[in-house]
Amino acid sequence: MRALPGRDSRTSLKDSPARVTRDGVKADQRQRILRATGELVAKRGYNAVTIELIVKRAKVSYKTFYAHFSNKEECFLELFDAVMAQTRAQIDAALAAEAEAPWPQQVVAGLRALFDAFIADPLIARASIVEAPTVGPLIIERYEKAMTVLSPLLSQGRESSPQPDELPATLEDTLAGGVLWSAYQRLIVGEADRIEALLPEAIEFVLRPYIGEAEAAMWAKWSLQPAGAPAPSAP
Amino acid sequence: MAPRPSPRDRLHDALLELCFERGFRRVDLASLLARAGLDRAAFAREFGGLEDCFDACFRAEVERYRRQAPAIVTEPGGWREQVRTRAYSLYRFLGADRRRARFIVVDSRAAGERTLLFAGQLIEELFELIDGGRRELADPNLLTRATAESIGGGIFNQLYAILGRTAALPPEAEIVPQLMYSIVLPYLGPAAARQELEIPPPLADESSPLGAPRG
Repeated sequence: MRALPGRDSRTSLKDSPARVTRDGVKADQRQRILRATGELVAKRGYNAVTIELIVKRAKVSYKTFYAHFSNKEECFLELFDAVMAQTRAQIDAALAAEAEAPWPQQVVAGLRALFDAFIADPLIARASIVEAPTVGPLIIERYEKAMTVLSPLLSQGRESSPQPDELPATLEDTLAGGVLWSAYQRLIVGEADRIEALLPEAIEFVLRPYIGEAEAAMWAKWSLQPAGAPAPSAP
Repeated sequence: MAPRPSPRDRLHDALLELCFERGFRRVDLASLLARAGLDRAAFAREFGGLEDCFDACFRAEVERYRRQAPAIVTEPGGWREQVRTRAYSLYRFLGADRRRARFIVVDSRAAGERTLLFAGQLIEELFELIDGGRRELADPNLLTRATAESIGGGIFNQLYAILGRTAALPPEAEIVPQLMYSIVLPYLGPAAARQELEIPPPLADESSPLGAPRG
């Protein structure tokens, strides 16, 4: 998995160990270019970002940029892929830690991991989630996958539903896309710090179709408890 | 003989076609002019640039929808019926022309700031309509507007994904009842939501070009 460019990537050359390898320098340059692209896209919008702005911010030459990427689009696509891979890995890790837990508890963990990823690096999240659709047709398929990242987890809820055959086939995509939309709105207005407050209602929103209003509300309430609080049992 | 379309109409049509073929961000002025059969001077008399042209076309499509809708025979009813009527009229409007559907749902997100703001206002109107479901609850404060935003956003993302993938919307009877299920569930409960899966598409107003159901 490619690493998401870190917040301190622009200074990481200074912090590198004394023995600097050629591959290490190349990797660092690439990270700086990706980071700079993400920050610029988040602040100015994809269409207003030029290669000139990217190389200035990343402190690399044009030659270096073109040694890594053939154009801005390719660079952005790599950033998008890296962000999504990292977010998916964080969700997977959270789910692995709750592998034996009841399904609603796994959903709480998955949603929390998703929101935490956005909160941890809101600029890069904004660049990836909000600006991606402005890139054009090349990203649509990737974007669709990102929008439905939670769908497989949610579809397991059908086993908990008393009437699974009556749930619509597109339900998971609507729910997963809806949760992301709420976070997306906060990222647009620069209110990443309010994403966490969305968690209880998002939990209720995605659990309700499978386990009903009362139990969904119970898990939403539980998500506000400190870590380690005993999980609720079905009402 | 039909009158020759105006330069504005020719540019509108050419832009819809090119956006459908390659996406707005890959449309350049030269190809737009070639497709419309116009020169730069004719374009400059109408628009300040490509984004301006896109914005005008987008607003013209919205105006067309507002002028022609409702194209459905509406039965008296409350919030749920209003939402269903709007869902079908919008879906029929988008489904009547796959170029238009992609232009409005997909390409508008790659357009300029002015279009994004305007599209945001339209989406807010839809959220407002969905949020009206809270008045159906015994205690409207049980849910917040965030629920309506999540439902509406989820539906919008789904249409975006479908159009990005297949370039055409599936028949309305396949999709709209499922979307209505998701809208109704938080406000009216599972029984009402399941009913939505069984309710047939509303009758068309035959006098309107938007009335004809698809599928």
